[in-house]
Amino acid sequence: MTEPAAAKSEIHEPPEIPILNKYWNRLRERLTKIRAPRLFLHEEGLFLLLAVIIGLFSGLSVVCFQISIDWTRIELLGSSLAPDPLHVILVPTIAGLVIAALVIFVFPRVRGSGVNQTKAAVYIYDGYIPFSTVIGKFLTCALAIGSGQSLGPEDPSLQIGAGIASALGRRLHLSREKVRLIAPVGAAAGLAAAFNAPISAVLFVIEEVIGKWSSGVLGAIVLAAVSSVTVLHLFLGEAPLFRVPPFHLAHPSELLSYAVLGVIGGFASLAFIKLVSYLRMQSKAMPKWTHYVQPAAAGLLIGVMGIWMPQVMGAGYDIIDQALHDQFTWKLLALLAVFKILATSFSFSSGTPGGMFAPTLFIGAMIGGAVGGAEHIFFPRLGGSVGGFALVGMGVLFAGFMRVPMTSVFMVMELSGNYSIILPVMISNTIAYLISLKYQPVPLFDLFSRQDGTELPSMEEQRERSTLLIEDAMRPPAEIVLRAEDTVADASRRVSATTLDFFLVSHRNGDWTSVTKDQLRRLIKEGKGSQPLARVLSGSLVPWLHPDQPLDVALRQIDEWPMLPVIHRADFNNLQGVISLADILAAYGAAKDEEEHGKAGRRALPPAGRPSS
Amino acid sequence: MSPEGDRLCPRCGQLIPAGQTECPVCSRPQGFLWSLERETLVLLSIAVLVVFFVITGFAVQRYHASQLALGGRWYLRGEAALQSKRAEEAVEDFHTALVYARDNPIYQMRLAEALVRANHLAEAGVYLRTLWVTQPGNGTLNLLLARLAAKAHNAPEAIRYYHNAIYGVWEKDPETNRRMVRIELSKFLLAEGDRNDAESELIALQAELPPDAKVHAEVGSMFVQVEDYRRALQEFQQAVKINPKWAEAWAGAGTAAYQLADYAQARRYLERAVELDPKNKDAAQKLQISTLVLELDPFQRRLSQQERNRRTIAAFGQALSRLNQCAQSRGVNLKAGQPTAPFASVYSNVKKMQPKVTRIDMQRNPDMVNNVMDLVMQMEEAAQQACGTPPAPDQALLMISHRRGSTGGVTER
Repeated sequence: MTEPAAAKSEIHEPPEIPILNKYWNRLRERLTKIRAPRLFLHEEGLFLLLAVIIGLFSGLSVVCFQISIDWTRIELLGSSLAPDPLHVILVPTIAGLVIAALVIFVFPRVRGSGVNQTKAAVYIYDGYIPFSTVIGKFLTCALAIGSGQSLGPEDPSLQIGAGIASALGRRLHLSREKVRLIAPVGAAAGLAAAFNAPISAVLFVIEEVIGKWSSGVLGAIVLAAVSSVTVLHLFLGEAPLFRVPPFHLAHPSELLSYAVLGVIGGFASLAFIKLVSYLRMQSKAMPKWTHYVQPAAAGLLIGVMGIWMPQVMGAGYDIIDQALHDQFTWKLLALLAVFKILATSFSFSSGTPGGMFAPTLFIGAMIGGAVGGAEHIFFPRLGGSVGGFALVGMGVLFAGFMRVPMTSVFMVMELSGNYSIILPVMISNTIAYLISLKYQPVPLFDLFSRQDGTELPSMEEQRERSTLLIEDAMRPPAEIVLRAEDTVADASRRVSATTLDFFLVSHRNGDWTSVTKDQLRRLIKEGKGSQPLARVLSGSLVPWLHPDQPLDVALRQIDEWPMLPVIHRADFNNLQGVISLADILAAYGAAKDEEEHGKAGRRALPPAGRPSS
Repeated sequence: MSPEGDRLCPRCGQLIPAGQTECPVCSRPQGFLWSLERETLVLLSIAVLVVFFVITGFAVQRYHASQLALGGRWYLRGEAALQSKRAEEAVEDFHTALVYARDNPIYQMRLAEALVRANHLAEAGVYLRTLWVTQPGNGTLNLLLARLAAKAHNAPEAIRYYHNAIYGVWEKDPETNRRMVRIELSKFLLAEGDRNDAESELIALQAELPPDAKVHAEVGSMFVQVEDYRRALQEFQQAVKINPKWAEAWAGAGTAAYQLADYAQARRYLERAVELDPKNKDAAQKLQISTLVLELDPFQRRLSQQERNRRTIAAFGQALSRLNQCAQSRGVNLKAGQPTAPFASVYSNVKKMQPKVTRIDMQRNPDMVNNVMDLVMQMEEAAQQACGTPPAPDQALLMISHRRGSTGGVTER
């Protein structure tokens, strides 16, 4: 956010209490007088140092956040894994009312996905995330998750990190470009600490928030993620989120079972996305007054479910851990998956702040475990260990629901610490991802942002969008290509028959220049007809292109040249084609037509600025 | 503030309340912090970070303490449930305890034990194997896995885990634990019918037994099961030496001596056993037989020829009476017509021998004792074959015959 220059000199009104007033003024004077050594003059250096500070702050915040969730749960629901029914119904319902009041009256920005709000900060608000959002997310999510709402702490952690980063970046007067990039740095730090998985966090932020591997921001993201995870290890220990059972792929035929898991997981992801987006639309469309009671209603429904299945309440890490260790029957696992989908859909669509990461992992683990357990019973020769299936299942849902295929693969590998799981994970995740992509073209986060009336850049669409190349626009080589060793007279004779005016000249050393008919005529008049073109042409070199380069490279190069040569990468004198501005525009026009006609209906939702509600 | 009519600031995204034109954030006068130099702000951030570290450290310390307490509380509940044989409840309690102390090895072991006791064998197996990956040398873990394998009758796996447990690490009282595991392994091998391996384990165990009557007696009983009566007798002798008032140990020693056909010693031990525990019918029966053997055996040393002959004649009479009674109960009249098997051949021998079994004849021919006793054995075996277990005096005669067969003549004492 850019600040008005005049406003910067203004100072907050001091507190009204005289004794505090005195100390405040004294502190202010001392701080103003401090002349710290100018160690951080370089913006890049400061950015990296700031990344570490952000990582440490985010790590500490996430530690406090996790403790708060636990304390809230114990205080409200008790320490038992199966609290008494009265508590199970009343606590999430009453907490829902409190959360609704907080969200509506105190922290209106905490509603919604933290991933999208971080993206909005990057792409819309110049990196600005109000610090009140950080506090709001912390309080409301701790209360929501602690009271048993079926949501996870990762998304809020991500936004807490991003909010801290944004506040620090703005206070330290970073450049506008850096302030924009600072929010994802904090997001990665928050997510890394929440997941205890720095690689996955870095990948997720790059895959879903930034969308590109830029060396400028990658270093900062990695530093922040590492710092935050270090803090987490320092305070809460190095134990991973789940204790993962040993995994061993006994026979390649087991991969068939994992392919089946991919198919089932893909359709489950699809059902989950459809249900969440449908309920969210419905709840947004309801009268305003209902927003005061929606979280409570969701809490009540979850409480009712929780009487029979307390496992669906809260983030559910312990239950995932138990599923990984084959402690449920396959039927119960399947039921838990179904009820968790319902519970999470109710919680999230009601506007209760909280994340979808943990529920996604939960549902994935349950589906994986159920598939593994069922295969053990019905096709005992096919399957591996149930724990292995549950582990792969987590990645499957992550790929199908969150639509981050790379992160999903690395996440499972990072959580398990086992490389041999890579094959089943890749197979299952790819299948689930493709199924989800086929039947739900708009990814989850983009769906949410469009429901909220904003058009954030879709990383998946960017990935999927086919890039136009120069070979898509170039024409076959011009009829006449002159050689630098040709004499002016010969060249003039060769071009006299054609109506064209601009000709490319090929040099032996691979350079390309150009000549026009007028230039040739003038040179002949000057008596230079017997001289080779190389000696008499003094114009600048024509920039050349290669067929595989993106078309926008041609746009940048073409400048005022009527046409540019497209040459072979291994033989610079081998002209593959030519390209002009008209060719480029024609190619873009054709691509647009194709996109509009060929992909009609891809966008099921109204464009940005016209929210459906 | 009502959300009605609110809109978002296009610059900062903050909510602009209805009726206001300017964003409350963007239009707010900038704070004091904006006037500080960048370097000062970095140092200030680091200072805040340090304070945050301290506060978080304090909070985490309290958090860990409360988690530890909760874990302990649920663990104790689980222990109580396990003690009162409410295994399902114990499973729940230990599960909860592990939520608060996930890596506590004691809770993990107790959960595994509770799972086994609640018969959640598959779940226990997976749980234990997961733990085993991180602690393959843990004695308790291997023992639990061995028990699971034993329950599933997977002998090779059970034996492997039992051996792992024997050679594994035990935090408390490793010697006792290893001994208990070896005893358990021996019992498992006996149950599986693998006597040779069981005997090997018992021999290994014998060398390291503590001065504990119960342990000696237990090992002695297992030696009896593998039919190594000599080692069994040694163990029972150790047991009675340590606890002379333990009837079972005396009975065990008596049984072992009885099986070794050392009836004099058997009688001595069994007399003591019956004296200490008059209700022990098996000991009383064995005592009776041992006494009869000692009273009826004509092959005992230091007997006069006269006494030897008397015993032989008495044995012949006893065996013949048993044969007649048995034949009668089967509806066979030995004296009339041709008796059927198994009496036929025996009775023809009896008819030939009977006139010669007199004191005078036997005095003249001392070797007749052997011939008569051979016939006694045939008669008793035929009667046993036809009519089942004989009464005590006849059992004693059978014992004498068998002992004679194994020792080939005169027996000790």
